[in-house]
Amino acid sequence: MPPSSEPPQITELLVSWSKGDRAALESLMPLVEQELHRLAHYYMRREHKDHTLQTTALINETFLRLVDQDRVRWQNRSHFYGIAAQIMRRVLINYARDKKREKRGGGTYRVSLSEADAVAEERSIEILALDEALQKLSALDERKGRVVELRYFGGLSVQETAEVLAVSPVTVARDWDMARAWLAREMRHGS
Amino acid sequence: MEAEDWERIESLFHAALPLDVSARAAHLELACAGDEALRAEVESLLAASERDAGFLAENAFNVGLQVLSGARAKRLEGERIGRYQILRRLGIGGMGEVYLAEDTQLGRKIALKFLSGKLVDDNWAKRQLVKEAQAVAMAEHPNICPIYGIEEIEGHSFIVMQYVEGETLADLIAARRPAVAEALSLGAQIVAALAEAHAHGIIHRDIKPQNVVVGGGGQVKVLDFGLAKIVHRKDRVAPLGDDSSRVSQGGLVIGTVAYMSPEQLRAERLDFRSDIFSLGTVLYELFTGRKPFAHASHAEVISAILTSQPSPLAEHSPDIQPELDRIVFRCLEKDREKRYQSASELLYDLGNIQQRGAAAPTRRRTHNSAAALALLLFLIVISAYAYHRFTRPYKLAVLPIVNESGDAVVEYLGDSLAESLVSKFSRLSGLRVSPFTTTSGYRGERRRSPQEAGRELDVDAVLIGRIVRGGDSLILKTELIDASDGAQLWGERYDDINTISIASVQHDIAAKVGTAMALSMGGREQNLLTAQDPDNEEALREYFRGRYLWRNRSKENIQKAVEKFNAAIALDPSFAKAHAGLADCYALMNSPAYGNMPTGEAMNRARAAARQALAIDNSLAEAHTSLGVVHLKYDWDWAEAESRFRHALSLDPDYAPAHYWYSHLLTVTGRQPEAVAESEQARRLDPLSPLTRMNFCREFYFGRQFDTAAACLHEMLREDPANVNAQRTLGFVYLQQGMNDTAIEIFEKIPDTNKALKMVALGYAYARAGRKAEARGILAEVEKMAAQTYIPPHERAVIYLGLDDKDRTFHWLNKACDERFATMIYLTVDPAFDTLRADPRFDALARRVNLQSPPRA
Repeated sequence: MPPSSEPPQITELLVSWSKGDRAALESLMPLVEQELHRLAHYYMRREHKDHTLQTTALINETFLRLVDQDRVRWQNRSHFYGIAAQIMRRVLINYARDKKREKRGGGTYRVSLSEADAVAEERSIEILALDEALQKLSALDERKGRVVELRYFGGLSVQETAEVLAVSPVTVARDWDMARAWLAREMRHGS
Repeated sequence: MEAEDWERIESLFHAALPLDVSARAAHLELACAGDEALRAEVESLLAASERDAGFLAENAFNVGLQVLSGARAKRLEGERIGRYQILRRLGIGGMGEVYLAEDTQLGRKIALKFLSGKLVDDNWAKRQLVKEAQAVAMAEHPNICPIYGIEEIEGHSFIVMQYVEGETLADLIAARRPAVAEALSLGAQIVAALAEAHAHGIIHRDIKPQNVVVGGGGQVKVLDFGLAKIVHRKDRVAPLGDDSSRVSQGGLVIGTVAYMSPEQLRAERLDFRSDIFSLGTVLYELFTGRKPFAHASHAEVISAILTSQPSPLAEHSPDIQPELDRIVFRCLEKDREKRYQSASELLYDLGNIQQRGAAAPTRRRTHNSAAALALLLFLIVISAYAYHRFTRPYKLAVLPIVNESGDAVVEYLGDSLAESLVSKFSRLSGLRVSPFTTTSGYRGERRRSPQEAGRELDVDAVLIGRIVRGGDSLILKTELIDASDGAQLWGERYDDINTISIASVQHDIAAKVGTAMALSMGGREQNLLTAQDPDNEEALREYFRGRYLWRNRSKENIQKAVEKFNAAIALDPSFAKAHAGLADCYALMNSPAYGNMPTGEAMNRARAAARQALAIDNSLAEAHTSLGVVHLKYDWDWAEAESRFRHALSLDPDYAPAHYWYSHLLTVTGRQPEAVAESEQARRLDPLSPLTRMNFCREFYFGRQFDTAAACLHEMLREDPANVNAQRTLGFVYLQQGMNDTAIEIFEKIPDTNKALKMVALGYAYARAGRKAEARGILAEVEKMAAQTYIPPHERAVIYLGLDDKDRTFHWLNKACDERFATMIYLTVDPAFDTLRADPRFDALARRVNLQSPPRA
């Protein structure tokens, strides 16, 4: 993969964010998004044999490329995954919002309704609906919200999720079952 | 909600989740003790959990890729691909993006349609692209956007088509309201395009104003013919059931819904009349400026299409003739039987109105032209009938022959007879026969009336048979049933089938059924019907018994099948299929589950038998497949294996085992998307086989989609709880998910009849769970077993793998390699081996198996 010109301020932002500066995250987001987007493109373009990319692999790669590893001391692996999942959620939701806003068409005529666009739009609506339902779930039961964020947005296994949350895998599996049922119901009937 | 309520709901939910439906009801009845609100809450959660089992199974990033994929388009602009200079993107169509480009050789502007990212690696989609483009190329018509060619350059697959300057009908309608005469002209041109397409057997499936371009002078071109089929196949149209909100979750295409027919929304099989409905919606919009089923939400649109009638045209457009109202509403009938039965008929009626409009002053002329048009209609109907009757293949399904005699000895006979009839009929050019693997599902609980089965399988006629007892003898009764009305076309009874010649019964049925279906069989096809099978009656019976045992395989049955095939060969050494059957058995026998024969011996025997079969009959798809399996599992010669599988599929595209094995080859050579497609194909052809389902689930495991793999295996185990293979794989999936205890529980339940398989899995799981002492105990036991019986080295390696003893793992894996043990081919795709990847010895090992060093994990 060709090297990207590294935006210098990322490391600083991450350091301040990991020290608890919430505002740093806001400045961080667009930079990370850009890099994620570029990587996603790269994978799509290579027509990757395995279209089912691992989220964690991608996020790992993004951070490895963006961050000066010596200067950012992750408290532990869990901290890292927790951040990654949150960012992934934010990134996807931002894209979904953009996608929803985006106007189709242009040119002399529009050739049919775009299949890819339609799917993208459909998926965007789903992601936004999920995010909304997930916020409600978190209000009701914070840990279940975190489990979904880590499992779904962070791509973590049950075991990894259990490590991050410092609970047993059985608890994670149970939370996951219950949360999925609750969210499925909420998305069907809610909003 | 109160926190304690939530906890209570949760604990009830978890308690009820593993129970089956009736136990659940009883449990909740008791536990909720009359608290109906609580009970309703838990029940609705349980229902949601059942209904949306796959919910959130795909992880967010893959969903994200779909969101991001729109952005992929920009990169082609300004590029040059072969002789085409890409100018700009016009939009995105049925399967991908469409660009305006210049053909630098011919110096003209053209439109290029590229396969979208997701479909690029899909060979099936590519084949469809070619097939449909060929079909459209045949349907030359002034109102169909012509296709100039299909190209594959520098990894891009695209269609080259005419660039039509103009605006889409959607834009036109949005901008202004055409006068009735203009609308009639536009509408008639769209219908004419479809009439032509339908005559060539092409269904559009996605008729909507966005797919119609109106050029200068009001000339209409319809785009995207038949292409939508490919997209719809890709699981976009979820079966809807009664709950319309499934649409957004199943990912049904947005925006198109408004023009879909009721049967399309119900994901039923489509025919030409579905296009007629969509045409009706377009005509309605053309005449009134509004969509017939316009509503704010998808759910309402869908419900309106399925149940309600749009308001009359005249309500929106007072100058509309009542006749036009009748025509449009006839297109919009919910029941396709009540719609126009062809686009030509609709075209005739529209033409009539156009004529009348032009010639309104004199009634007489109207009558004359109506008479002329009636004659035209008559000719159209006659030619359409003739077309259907003589060019469309007659479709037949042979249902499993039901054994009602109570005599288990003839159980084999029913299946074998049905299967061999299918293979006989398949060789006739005028006839299309559903593969036996598809029809064989219609038994037991899934038994259907012949008419129902015929409808489901979309065939013209169904052949059924029953074996009944008549005194001391067994009688076979067969009937050929017309699927459209259930009428008997032919029937025959054969007495004493336990003693008379099966070959003669087969020949008799084949010939008479052929005659009954009024096939114009020439002498050549008569020969095909009767060739192939040996004169030796007993050899044929032995072969049938062998195949029956092989299909219902177990260690014991495979052993017996070998005996039957050998007996058939002894009776008739030139019986090619019996040799192929033997090869298929040997190719399985290296597996501990079927034979425990050392790999080299099993595979060389399989190879010899397959070669023998091919020496006798080189056109046997079965034998080519068997040989391919040996190349795949033993020679590790991917190119040879691939060419065998492809050849087998060219001989018999419906031979499920060839698809099944081909998917294995694609998996190990890292072509996962294609592997999934082949695996799907195998499953479609042979939906009830535990092997094809198992393989399908396992693709998700290899693809690291563990949640999906688990859901898939769970579903399989619900129907077939004793399937050891599925249990074992599910355990391995759980281990990957870190649910070690659940995995151990599953392995512990595997019955001891598969002791080696059970012990190894259990040893591995204990080790992974950190229960090292128990793992070592099992290891010792396995070593003891190995002294008495053959334990494949690969299996021993797995326990050491769990114990993270890399030296011994590699030692045994190399041993397995020395033996050319078949499961070694999954080395680089099996997630269980991921922990070894960083070790340089792994690459060396992969090279020994002719596998590419895997990508960085």
